[in-house]
Amino acid sequence: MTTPDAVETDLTDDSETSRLLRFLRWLGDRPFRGPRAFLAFIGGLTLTLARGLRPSNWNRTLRAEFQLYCFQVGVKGLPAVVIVAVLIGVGMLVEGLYWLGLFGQRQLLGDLLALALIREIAPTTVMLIVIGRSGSVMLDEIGQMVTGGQLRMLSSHGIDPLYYLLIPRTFAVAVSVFVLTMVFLPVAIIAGFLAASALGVTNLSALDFADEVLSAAGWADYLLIPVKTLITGYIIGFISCVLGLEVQAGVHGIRRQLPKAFVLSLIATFLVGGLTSVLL
Amino acid sequence: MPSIGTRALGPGDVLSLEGVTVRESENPAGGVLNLDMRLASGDLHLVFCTSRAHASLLGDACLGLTPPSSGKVRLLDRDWQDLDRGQAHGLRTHVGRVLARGNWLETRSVWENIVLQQLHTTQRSGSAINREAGRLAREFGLPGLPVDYPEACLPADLERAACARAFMGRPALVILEHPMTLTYPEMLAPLMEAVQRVRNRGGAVLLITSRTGLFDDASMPVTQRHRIAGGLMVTQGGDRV
Repeated sequence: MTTPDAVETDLTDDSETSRLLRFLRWLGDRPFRGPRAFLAFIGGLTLTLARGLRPSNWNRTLRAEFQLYCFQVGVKGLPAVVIVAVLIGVGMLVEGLYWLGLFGQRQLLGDLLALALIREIAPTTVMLIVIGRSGSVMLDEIGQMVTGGQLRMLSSHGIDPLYYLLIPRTFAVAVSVFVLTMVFLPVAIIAGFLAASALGVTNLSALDFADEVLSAAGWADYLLIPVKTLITGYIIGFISCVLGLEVQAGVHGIRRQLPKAFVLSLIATFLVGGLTSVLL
Repeated sequence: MPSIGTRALGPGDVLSLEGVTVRESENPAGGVLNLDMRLASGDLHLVFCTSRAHASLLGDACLGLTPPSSGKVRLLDRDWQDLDRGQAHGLRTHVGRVLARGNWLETRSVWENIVLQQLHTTQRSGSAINREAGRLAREFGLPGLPVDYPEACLPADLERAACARAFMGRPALVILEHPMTLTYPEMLAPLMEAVQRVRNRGGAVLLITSRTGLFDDASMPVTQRHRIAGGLMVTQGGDRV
């Protein structure tokens, strides 16, 4: 009887039969590689979420890591988010004035600002900032741990890297994206109002403007913010961590993973963003 | 998180490797080790090994991090192959280790690195853990717990800190991979004191060194000596044989 070991031995030699067997194995493996990787990704995503939702798993080191990464992603990301929110608030006002003016619909400016910002622009912009600013750093940090042997060190000391590295970081990114979006929205709206007042486009008071903007959005719009930001934030955190864990030794190890993580995070952002926008 | 729980150390094997062959995962064709040894309660085994890669491989094999292609590795009577991921991590909490490479998380201070395992895997109070870490750091010649990041510390101080970490808690097994590259011989006395304390309470110690002076020192109270050469472990003798 041929044992798996024997097959392995056969496949390592260079005879014609072995080359054929290797080719057939490659051919048979190829179509399943993508679906297998996707299923593994979904499995890991779900498992990490389930583990993170169990309060007993949050021991003091995980809580400390969570706080640290809320600070790294959320607090340190605040200046970038505020600056971009001001620019987008003013930019949207100018664009809105131009386009709505063309159609004689300037009275819809408040609605446009509120709905476009709440439903799409604020969550998406914050996620793009987090992907570029924090996702790549987390990937690099975990990748360095893999290649530097620190992952072995953690395991040697009975610390499961899948708990210690994945759970606090992914949850911190999710919470940070939500909080940063909640900061982005009022900053962009206030910046838009101040610009509108300065340009003399609106004669509404600040309170009336706020009322107009807030009443333009319904409950589904407000529900969309936590749903979209928490889910997408969690996924982009997970992508960065998992691709960091998959880094292989060598000079190209991390460099290879960074663009992959960026593209996958973008896809996740627009896919989840689109799905939640359709559903809510 | 799953845990195997604490257990009293009694007589018997702390670690056994029977007919074990392990391969380096990064270079399966190159690094192969054939290992056979048993560390009983109270044992100190000295292994002469010049290769850091082989020292890492031996440490990883003992901790079930590199599964053997043949043979059995048992720690505290538990075969690594019978344990799931959670149980394996629970069992590893009984081990202290100085690694040949990758000892430090670069984004944490050395102090945080030293106390991390105890904070993560035990219910001990933070102050008790810090007190023990400080005492061990001073024993190994540091003025106190280093609060700098690893890259800001002297390599010799990092060796001392790594030893302090390996003896934190009450490890049943301590694996020391090249612990005194820069600090030999001044750290030998405190290291042997710490080793003796582990042995006295029924633990075992595996000391891997590339120093011929240390390996050949007849005054070392060693249970058994081994030499790794060409991927083979040869037992040379000691107090037991």
